[in-house]
Amino acid sequence: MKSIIVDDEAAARAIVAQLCTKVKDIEVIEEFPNALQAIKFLNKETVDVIFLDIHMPDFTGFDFIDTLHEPPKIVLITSDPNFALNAFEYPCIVDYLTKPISEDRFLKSIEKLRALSENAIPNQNVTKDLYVNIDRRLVKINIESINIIEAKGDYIQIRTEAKNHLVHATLKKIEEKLPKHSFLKVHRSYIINTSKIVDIEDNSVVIAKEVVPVSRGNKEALMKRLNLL
Amino acid sequence: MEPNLSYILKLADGSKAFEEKMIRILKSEFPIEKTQYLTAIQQQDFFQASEIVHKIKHKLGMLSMDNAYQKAILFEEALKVSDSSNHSDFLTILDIVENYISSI
Repeated sequence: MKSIIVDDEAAARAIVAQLCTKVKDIEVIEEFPNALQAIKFLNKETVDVIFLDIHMPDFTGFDFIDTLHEPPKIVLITSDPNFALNAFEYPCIVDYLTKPISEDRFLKSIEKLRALSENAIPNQNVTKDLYVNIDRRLVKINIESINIIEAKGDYIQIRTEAKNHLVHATLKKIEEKLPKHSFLKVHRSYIINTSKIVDIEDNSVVIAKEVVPVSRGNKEALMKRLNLL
Repeated sequence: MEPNLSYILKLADGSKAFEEKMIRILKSEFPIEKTQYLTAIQQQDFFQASEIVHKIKHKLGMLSMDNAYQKAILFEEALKVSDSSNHSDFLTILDIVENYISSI
């Protein structure tokens, strides 16, 4: 299982990383001292588990979880068991560990993670919003308001009804975060919200007065999505 | 109340690298956190003081100071409602930790 550790305290990160070395099937691929850096990372990479501190300055662990469209399994790390009560509201939270973490208790969490992986319960957490990192701020975008997403080098431009947002991410990564029933990649540089299509002509579609190219390879998938007479 | 490295040594399980890393972190972070705590108290910024006590209490836990850890939990909560009456007791704990860290 690929994991990351998010905790503002270096000592706490070192302890969790050390505990992970005692477990064969857990690999810590990155450690982050704050939620913002972790969100940036998760916009590009996928992990199986996040070991997450709840009490962090500026951005709590729960704020962090709220930004994730399809959160992986999460093990909370806290010194305040009262925080654990909130954990029941999040299906992605597998367990919570209190500091200082004992090895026995940590291994029990790993057992829970393994049991869930074996049962492969799909994540039920559905959200209507997407949080993107723009100039060190997390900006909320209502997914249904998105018209077009265009790849622009290392960035993507998310064009909504109200505003355009330039975000450091890949088209592939955002595609994973969007509902498949309403979004479709129609070109190597474009994802569109199919419910916003106004017009289709040969190898292009019109959305919000903008013409978007449709590649030959993607046209069939697009036509299958439409309610054709 | 006396600090020790038993928790860290148990986790290290013979790993000198981990042991040294933890000692390095304690030595570098604790003096800064103590100064930040004293400044916050001096400025009567009790919320900030509670945030620093929150971090320090984890170090008390790592140093197996169970009694001091429990006191820090209560003190952190008290500071959130601007009650710093246990400052002297907490300062005694900080001095003990500081002496210990400088000896390892």
